[in-house]
Amino acid sequence: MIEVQNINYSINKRQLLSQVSFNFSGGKLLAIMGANGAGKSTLLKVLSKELPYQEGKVRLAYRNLNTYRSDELAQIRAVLAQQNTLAFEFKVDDLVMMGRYPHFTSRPNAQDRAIVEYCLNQTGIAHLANRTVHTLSGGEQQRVYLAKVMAQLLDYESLFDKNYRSEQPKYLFLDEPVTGLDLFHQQQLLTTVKELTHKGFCVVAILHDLNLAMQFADSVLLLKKGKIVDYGVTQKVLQPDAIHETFGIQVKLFQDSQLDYPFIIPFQENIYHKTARICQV
Amino acid sequence: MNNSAEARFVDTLLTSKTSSFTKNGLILLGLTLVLITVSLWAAGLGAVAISFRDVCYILGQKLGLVSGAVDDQASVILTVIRLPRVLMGILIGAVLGMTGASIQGLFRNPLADPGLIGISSGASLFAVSMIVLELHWLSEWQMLGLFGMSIMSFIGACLTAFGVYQLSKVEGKASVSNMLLAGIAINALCGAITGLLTYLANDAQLRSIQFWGLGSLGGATWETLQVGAIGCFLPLVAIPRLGKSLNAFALGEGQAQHLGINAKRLKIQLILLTTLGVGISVALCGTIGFVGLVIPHITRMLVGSDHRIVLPASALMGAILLTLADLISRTIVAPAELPIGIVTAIVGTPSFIAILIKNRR
Repeated sequence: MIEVQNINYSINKRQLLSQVSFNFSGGKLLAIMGANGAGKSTLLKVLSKELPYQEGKVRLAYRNLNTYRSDELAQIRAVLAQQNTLAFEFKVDDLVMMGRYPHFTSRPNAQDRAIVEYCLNQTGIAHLANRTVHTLSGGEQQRVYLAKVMAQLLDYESLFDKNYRSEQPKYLFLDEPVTGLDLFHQQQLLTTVKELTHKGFCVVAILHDLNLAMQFADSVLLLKKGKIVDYGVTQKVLQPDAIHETFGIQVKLFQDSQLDYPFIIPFQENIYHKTARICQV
Repeated sequence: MNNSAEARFVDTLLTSKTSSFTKNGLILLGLTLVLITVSLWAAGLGAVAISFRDVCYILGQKLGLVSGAVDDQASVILTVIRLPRVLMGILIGAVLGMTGASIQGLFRNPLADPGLIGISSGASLFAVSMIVLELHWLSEWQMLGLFGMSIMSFIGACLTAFGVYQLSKVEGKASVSNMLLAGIAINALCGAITGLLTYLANDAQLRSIQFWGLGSLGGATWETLQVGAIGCFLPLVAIPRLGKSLNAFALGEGQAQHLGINAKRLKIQLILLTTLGVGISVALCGTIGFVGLVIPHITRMLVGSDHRIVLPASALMGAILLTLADLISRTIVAPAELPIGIVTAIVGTPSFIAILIKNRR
């Protein structure tokens, strides 16, 4: 359970988040969407305690976020950053093992290793385990980092029991996880993430692709200039008016009989008119 | 999945993955054996050569392991002159290698070295001031005794490191990139003042400044070794325990914090320990360049990037390199001595470049 009440965040007198409030329960995937600079990353950083919010209240698992120590938080919350820079050359399995760091003091035990093995398999990078991360392509690296955050949150029991649900709620925050991935790996990554919600994980992801959100997200939160435009069940929120309000783009929704969700196509009337006018000048 | 499948899964993991730990253990054991051999061999070489067997025999006798007559002259030379010097080389080499690796981890940059945060230049400045301004009263002060200069340069190291840390703070948070900039500024300032003092110095002072600047283990006695051992004990024991945190730090400060690492505490711990270790080593032996920068590189090429193995292995590699460099520095132009900084650079650079070229292929 994530509870956010009237969050304000500003830096250098620029208001990046204003009066953001929402509640979100576990076992679901929330997509945060909005134009560039809308405050999506800022919101995610506030939720992950990377940025201190100035006003309002954030509660994770019915407990004020500020009362968590960072090592406590590391047990239940993992963050997949938008950009990953690795200072030294680590092997893939060593990097994924870093996800287990909050759970052991000096040496990983057999359970930690089993979890790493499982995450390598789930993200389809088991064959790369002995390569150094630097030698991988961007998409492969992204999957390595996903495996790392999965390893941070998964319980050993959940590897063998499909119905296992963690006693402690787990929070996974993803900042543009599919950017730079090909079609297949976008689908694969989000499917993997979606499966984590079935284990009771509370997943919050920043997404840009409306159709991916439609396909995978349970809820959508639309942000514009630091304010919430709309928040709720995906199919109710992702409607032409709200999308136009958020992105300034006209869209049409189409329903296919074989799909249980509509797909969204922009039609660029506005932009076309604007360019036409520019061309005339 | 049922229980037996689970057990099998764990079994295969146990047999396949423990090998990396035994491999690391073997590397450390191998390096330790090399270090012991090299230092016993080095202890025998010099103006009076003592054979490897005699070195072992004399040491065995001193430790009460064997009995019998030994050559008195050889025994005195070994225990009074050679041994403290070799041990000092091991100690200082280990500290420089390990702190080098830890500072590179902290700055997330394989080009960093402890000199970057002003430790060495601050220590040099204070030492050179002592020489040029002839602050003999400090040495005459009973409590300081022989170690007046060492204590001054240690204070210099602490002051500059503290200054760099304070300057790098933005809104109460020390940023690593600011630390780099502050370090460069402080280094330039200390360098300029040291230069000014050098300009004012007379010939005798110049010579001792120059010798001090390039470093030497020549002053090693059992007393200085004691001081060094006490000062270096804490860094050598505490820094390897930060290996896991430094690994996480390689992902960046933010991500390290997501993994539960207290980045602020880690930074302060590393800077304190490094200042202590490097400050003591500069105080006792002058500035010995190159070791802190290159040893961690060579070590990473050998054992990979995992700081849990890089830190202790860098200490062993540093100890081996410095023991060998000191051997060359005191034998190649015997009975005179070459400053050890010259040797580490001349011997180390080509081997470093050779490794770089080999790795590029």
